[in-house]
Amino acid sequence: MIELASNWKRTLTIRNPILLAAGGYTTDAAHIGALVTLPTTWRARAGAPMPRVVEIPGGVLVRTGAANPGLPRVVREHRRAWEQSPAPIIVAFAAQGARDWATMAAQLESVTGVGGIELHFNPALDAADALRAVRAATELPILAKLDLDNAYEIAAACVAAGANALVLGRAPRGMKIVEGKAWYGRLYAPSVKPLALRVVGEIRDLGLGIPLIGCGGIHSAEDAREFLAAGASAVEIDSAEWIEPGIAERVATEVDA
Amino acid sequence: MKSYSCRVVENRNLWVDTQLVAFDAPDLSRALHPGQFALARAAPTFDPYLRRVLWLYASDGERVAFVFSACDPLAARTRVGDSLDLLAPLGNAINLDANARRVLLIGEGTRIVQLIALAHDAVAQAREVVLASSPVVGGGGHGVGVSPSPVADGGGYGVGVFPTHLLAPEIEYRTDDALSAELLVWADAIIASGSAELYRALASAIRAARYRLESGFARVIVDLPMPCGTGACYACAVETTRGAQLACVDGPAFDLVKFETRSAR
Repeated sequence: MIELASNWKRTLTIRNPILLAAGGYTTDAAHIGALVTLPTTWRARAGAPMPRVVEIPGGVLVRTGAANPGLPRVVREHRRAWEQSPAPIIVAFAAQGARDWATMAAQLESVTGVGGIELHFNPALDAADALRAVRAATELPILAKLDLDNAYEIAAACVAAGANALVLGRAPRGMKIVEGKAWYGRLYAPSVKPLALRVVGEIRDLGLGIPLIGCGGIHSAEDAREFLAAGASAVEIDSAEWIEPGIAERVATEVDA
Repeated sequence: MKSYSCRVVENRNLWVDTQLVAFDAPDLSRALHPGQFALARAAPTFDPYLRRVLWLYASDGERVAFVFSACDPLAARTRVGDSLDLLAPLGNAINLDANARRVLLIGEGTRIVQLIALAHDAVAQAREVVLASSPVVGGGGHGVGVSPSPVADGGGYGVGVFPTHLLAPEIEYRTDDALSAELLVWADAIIASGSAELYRALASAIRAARYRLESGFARVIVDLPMPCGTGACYACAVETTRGAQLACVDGPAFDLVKFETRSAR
């Protein structure tokens, strides 16, 4: 068993270090540690204009604009499944809806099956301020998912403001020229792994005293073990699920073996 | 959805830049219905990274054929005898109303290939079928960089006459005005595949010809890049009158009444 909120009164205990990141709102996972939902906002968001997906060699840039049905609908449609989920549900909050995070956190306080929330930061947000507001609104464990760009700089402030674990990190932002214009998206690819691993190692060395969760480019059990060796207590598997549905379950089994 | 490992028995150019890939795969063939698609792993490595959308083209319970872009790397690297890793069936089958005796299928450019399976299915159900080719009216731009596909670019690349010898003789193939009042009044049901521009034009033409656009009368196929195919990534979210829906799990066909075409841009 792994405790992801060791510095907090409410626990978030997982039985396996493999988490499924941004896995829609599924609960279909018997062996993994926890299920992290698609990033959600308070109100529904239609998302970014097309194109939203631009493939590059060995990876893909994605910009969904946090398209999601809105938290009230998500809770309404999935409450029963979450109650019966064998693994804790961690509800992710999209950066685009940061002004509503405290309201959203309070809404989830009493939803059975929800074990924590994951706040998705970007460099434009004041992470410490946002964390303090959410901390005041909920006793749910808070995971702060940071941009790799500034994770090292803000990690300590996030811990001081109430984060129970740091997720390192969000997919790095990239750019491509599309039809003559700059197009920005987040990069999902195996090549992200070394970038995320470096950040995990650097922040481990800060000795912040809370669990670190590695995320980025994990496509195998060996990838997951590298993050654990670098100092992560757990890892999130994200876009690999698009290529091989069920890979999180497989990696969880292999890492356990 | 299940995972299949299927051996390729045919891989060839079908028409313009449309590739056909076929498998002797009875289980898969029986699991798929017109309107549905499969996702194919493009490479054992991660380059190309994403799975490719293969649209059902024909299925007879033993053999199943799909179409995709001939420009996609999958077309060139696939050999007869190779095994492909497929996820299927994905999306919802297009079921025609039992009372729809006259079916109008409208395909914009090469997107017409997405309607061939449905056309043959409708003929097998003793319906009258008109397959109408629309010129490309869409501006393109969908999924730039992902599978520059005739079924992912918002309208198809070329305009030409689909090889009619590939169609059952009962299918009437038309290359004149696909949105003519004559056809729109004749039809009991319409399925279209094309760009948002085509769908806007179709809605206007139906209202002009039939005075109103009724729910259930016309459905449109929304073809966007679908990285996961399972509703997890939300990259294919579209706005409908029922809120955000996903092309991969709620579609790919949507009622034209409920579909707000701005979301397909």
